[in-house]
Amino acid sequence: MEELIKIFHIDWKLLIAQILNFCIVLSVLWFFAMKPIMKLLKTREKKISEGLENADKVEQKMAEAEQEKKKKVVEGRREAQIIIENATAEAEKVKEAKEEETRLGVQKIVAEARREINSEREKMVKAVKTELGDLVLLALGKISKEGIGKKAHEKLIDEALEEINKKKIK
Amino acid sequence: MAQEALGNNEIVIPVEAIAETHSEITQAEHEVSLAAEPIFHIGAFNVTNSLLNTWLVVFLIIIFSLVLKSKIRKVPKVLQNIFEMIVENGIKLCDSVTGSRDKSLKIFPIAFTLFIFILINNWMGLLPGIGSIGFNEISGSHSVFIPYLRGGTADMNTTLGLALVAVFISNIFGIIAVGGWKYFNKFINLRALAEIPFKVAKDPSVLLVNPIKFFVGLIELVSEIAKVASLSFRLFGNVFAGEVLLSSLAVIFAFGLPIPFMFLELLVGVIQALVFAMLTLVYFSIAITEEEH
Repeated sequence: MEELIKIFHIDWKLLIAQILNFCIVLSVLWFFAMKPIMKLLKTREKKISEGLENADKVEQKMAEAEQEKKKKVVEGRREAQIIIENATAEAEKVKEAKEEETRLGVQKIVAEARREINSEREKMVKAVKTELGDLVLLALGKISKEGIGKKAHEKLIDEALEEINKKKIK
Repeated sequence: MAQEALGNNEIVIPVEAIAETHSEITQAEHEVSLAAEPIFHIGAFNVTNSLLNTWLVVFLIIIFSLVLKSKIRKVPKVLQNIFEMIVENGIKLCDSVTGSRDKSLKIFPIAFTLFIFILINNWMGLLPGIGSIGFNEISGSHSVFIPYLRGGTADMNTTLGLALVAVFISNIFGIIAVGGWKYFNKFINLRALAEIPFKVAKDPSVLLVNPIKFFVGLIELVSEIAKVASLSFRLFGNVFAGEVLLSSLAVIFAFGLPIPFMFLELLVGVIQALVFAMLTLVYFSIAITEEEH
């Protein structure tokens, strides 16, 4: 042992100095290089894994939203179809009702007009009849004054009435 | 001008260039001694050229660390990137030895520092000027060339210090992980001896097995010392041999010839640093695993 120490010049002071050197290097490397770097690596790893996870989540959400959108569009289209169909049917109905109403109105007006015309005509015929009767009477009076017999008189009246009746029928 | 080795601990490389005319006093021997030479003294403390070089390495590492610290950003630049890559792969390598990330993170700072410290020290010894710039010390009838700087790990004090630290720390971790009493029994297995009277009735084989266990424990104790020796001598031997090789080649022919060997030594520097760090890892993982029964 003694020999060994002598050959290799092992000096405990130098030994301690070298151990001290190593300790200095260890602490310096640890505090200034390794610790911050390792911390950084850890946080970065965490961040990256979190980021990837988030990206996955976002993708999933986007796919979901896309599906939702598609569903909504289909639904909307169907609803619109229904609304259009309803509206068309309604319009058709309204149109028909209006037409019906118009036709009824027209028929009513026509009937009324016809009735009016008829009653007017009747009134007129009546008036004409009485007037004509009076006129005939007057004329007959005049004629009878001038010498037509009673028989001829009556015969004339009857003929006139018949003629009037014929005309009335016409 | 072949010279005899002056002592059994010195390898002498003769320098032909020194003029032969001034025979005795002025010829300097370019020798690589096993021990680092003292350059100056602080009180009773000898500052050797190896220690000076180690201080230089410490200084460089401090500068590097401070620069790195000041440049740490969330988005890494070149220097940080390189360091991050080294750290990440280093931890992975640790995982392959220890088998779990938690254990790796505990020992990684020490193993990594050992690696970096030894690596820089090994390479610093290869730089031109280190080992070749120095002064001639006249002692007695001849002068000896003493370089100002010498590779830090080419000194037994450095390697022994590092080996002691490595083995000491692995034992500390073992005590923390396994528990003081259990760890003590790993070496001086009192429990195995104490068990004999209680178990002998049930299983007579303990009479034979437990004394063996006790002696195995003692062998473990010796192996701890062997670990220190193997770590320190391996590193010292490799680095020192490299320096001797390079300076011998430089004496044979200084231009071009040492270049391939320089590359070889660069490689040796990495390998030895790696071996030291990996063995420390292995010792650590052995220390923290409980003894199997």
